[in-house]
Amino acid sequence: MSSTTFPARVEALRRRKSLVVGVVIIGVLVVLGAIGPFLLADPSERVADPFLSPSASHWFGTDSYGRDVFSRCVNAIWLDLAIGVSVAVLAMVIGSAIGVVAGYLGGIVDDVIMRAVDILMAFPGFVLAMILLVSLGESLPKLAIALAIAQVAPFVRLVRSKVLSERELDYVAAARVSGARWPRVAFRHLLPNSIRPAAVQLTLVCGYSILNVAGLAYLGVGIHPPTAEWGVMVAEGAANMLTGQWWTAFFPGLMIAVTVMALHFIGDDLGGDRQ
Amino acid sequence: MTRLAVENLRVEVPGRATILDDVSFDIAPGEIVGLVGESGSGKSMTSLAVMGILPRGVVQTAGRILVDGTDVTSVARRSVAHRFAMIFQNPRDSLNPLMRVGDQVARMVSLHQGKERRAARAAAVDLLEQVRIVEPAQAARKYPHQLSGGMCQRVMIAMALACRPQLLLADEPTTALDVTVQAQILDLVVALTEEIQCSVLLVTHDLGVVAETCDRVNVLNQGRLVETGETHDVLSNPTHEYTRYLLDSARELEVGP
Amino acid sequence: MLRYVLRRLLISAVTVIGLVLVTFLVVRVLPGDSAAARLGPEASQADIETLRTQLGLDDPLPRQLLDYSTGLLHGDMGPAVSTGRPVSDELLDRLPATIELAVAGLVIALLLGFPLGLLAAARPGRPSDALARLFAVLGSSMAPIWLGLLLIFGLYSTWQLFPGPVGRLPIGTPPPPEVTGLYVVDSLLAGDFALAGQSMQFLFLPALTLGLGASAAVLKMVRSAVLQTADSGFVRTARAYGVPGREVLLRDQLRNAMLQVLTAIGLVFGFLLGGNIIVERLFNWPGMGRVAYDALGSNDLGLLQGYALIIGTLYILLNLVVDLVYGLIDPRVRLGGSSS
Repeated sequence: MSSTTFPARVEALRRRKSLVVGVVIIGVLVVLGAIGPFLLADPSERVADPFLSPSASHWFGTDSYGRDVFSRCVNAIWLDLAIGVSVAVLAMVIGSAIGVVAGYLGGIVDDVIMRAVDILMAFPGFVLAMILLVSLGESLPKLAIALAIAQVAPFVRLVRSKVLSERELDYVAAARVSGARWPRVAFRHLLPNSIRPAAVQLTLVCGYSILNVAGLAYLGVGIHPPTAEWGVMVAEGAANMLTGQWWTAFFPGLMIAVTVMALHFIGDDLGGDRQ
Repeated sequence: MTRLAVENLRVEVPGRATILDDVSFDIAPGEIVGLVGESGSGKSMTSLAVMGILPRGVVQTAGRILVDGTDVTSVARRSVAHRFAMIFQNPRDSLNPLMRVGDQVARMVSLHQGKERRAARAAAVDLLEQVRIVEPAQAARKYPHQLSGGMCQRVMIAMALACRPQLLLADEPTTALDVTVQAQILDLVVALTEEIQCSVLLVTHDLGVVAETCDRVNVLNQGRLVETGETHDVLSNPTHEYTRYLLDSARELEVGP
Repeated sequence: MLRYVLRRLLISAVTVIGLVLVTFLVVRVLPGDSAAARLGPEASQADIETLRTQLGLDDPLPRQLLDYSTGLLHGDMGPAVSTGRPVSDELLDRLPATIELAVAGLVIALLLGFPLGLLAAARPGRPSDALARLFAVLGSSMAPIWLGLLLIFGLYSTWQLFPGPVGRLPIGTPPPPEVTGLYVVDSLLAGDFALAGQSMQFLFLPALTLGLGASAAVLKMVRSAVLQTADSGFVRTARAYGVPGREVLLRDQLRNAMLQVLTAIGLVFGFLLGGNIIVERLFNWPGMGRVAYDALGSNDLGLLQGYALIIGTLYILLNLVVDLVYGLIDPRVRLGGSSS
């Protein structure tokens, strides 16, 4: 790495346009989310007349309570990213652990786990998360858990198939011969080598979760008003769309689309899809 | 008079690697010429370059490929396909798994001989008989997965014959087959090409195969031609150390460990 | 082939049993108390206890599971607490509306995603590919609710091209005589072309909302499946023998890729069935998703459980059909007996 010259690295990045675009968008959002709350109007207070259309003083207009839509959008950045990232990490950790166990042990354990995964996959992820959330009761951590469980299955499959192909390789055999017990072999050696395909899924799940939070908010579960959260804002603004105040739902929805798109770009690059 | 002349061929993955460098050889009508080397020597790439079907990302950056005196690197490749045919190392993978083998041969008949559907079907069965498949009409209705590797290679040869080729490129045609079948397929290739005065470029790592079938041989090492000449001369009196190394490893194999 | 079919049937049956078990466990065992949830925070402890006994929630778990499963075998999912009608009636009455929407969504997804995916795979890395993939990323980045709102705002509010979100037909218009429950099909069967046209107009926006998102998934699958075949031996053969590029793409690549694409279509249809709950609410579409939404509002866990069970079962059945069609298309499965 240290031998690579600076121009060469710039050249390498120029070929990975989608990665650069994705990372820049997410970076800008993170910075905006960090400093915005100190500079902008209070997102939960009435700051002007309701339903002002976008203007120089209120870039994204104001909503039905006279709150500043831009300020609310910016204040929601960290919350939405945090939900997306924590769901993705949670799903990956649980899914990868199960996948390693299934792939490494094989036999009946593998059969049972894979059947269970099939059953999980028979639910559309959104429906599964919804049912879990209602049964668990609502709270932010429970929302993250419900969304994560709904996304565990693809991680199990990915990591298991990677483990199956890697377990025959020399270093695993070597570790076994040297007398290491299986949990040690599985987690110390296989897991780090099986994680790359999971990283792609990580970015995708992060995006799905932000979309799913929005969907759940529209159905009245998960996160509720008056929280400044993109999905909640779209749900609150849905009725205004029909009466002409398009900006109340349009801008938070645009934030979601841009964020998820950036995550897709990063995922495409990690998946080796470079063009 | 040469059927095929390859002049100073250079093939690269741009910016990454040079696969072939300054490769030149030729083949006369009716001649069988061997191209020998270890895996990774670039011998398969040579045949793909001649055929004009280099994989994505691999390009010919210099040299000419002349067919009967015309440079084909500049003309539409399809006119070449009418005169060339190719068979591959893994015959079953080289056939479409969802099409009956008879239909696959018939497709080549109608493509290269302009016959309409029914006539092409009948011609396909004749071709399967020519490659000595017993009960060709029944075999024509089979899918590749129902046939053995040797049978699939016979089907591939039938497809090649359907093109009435002037040059057959055979890329390790027997490597993936059982030892007993290998000799049959080689004999078939030699006999059928002789019948129609077709030249053969035989790409292989197996010097035994070369000794049995080839008039002349070219030895390829790391993308460069290191030795060329009459088969008998090269094998009995190699001048390049790489050829000697290949011969030594071949002998070791024969004696066995 | 027979062994293959039996194996698929067995796997599907096991998965359905697992599905029943999972929905049961999620609703009855997880900490949430459906009786307390039903009655709301102001209910007295005594009221909750009474309801618990009525619902059989105090019986031992295995007993509850047994009762529930025997009920299911007779098509009985118990009564819906919020409405008093049987859960199965509540949901199955609305099934045709949901199916009509999901099928229309699938048609749109295929009409958009299939040709674009093929176009992208025909010239990988070229501008046509880049554009198609950008479309796929855009399609999968939009929240369905937001996309639906944009479509309503543009195509209904602004340009009045399509009817507003008021359900399957204009308010007050009687539906066609019921045969299949699919309004478009039923009105055609009744010979009422005007009504069929109206149904299609009402169907278009919700189906487009569902279909646009799903088309991105179809596009990606078609592209990657076709590209995978590009490196295969038989495509190399076809190219070597001078088969024209378009014929290679359609007859060799696409036909072999179809096996994978078919599996993907099964997945996408499942997504459409599950994603409909949002779209059905947004467009006031009276399907199962709408029932589930109402059940959410009234905390009717039994009804939600039934919804999840029916969606899951539909999805499993669909994948069974996909597997069987796969078996019919692929001679390696249909004829078996691979010689090695």
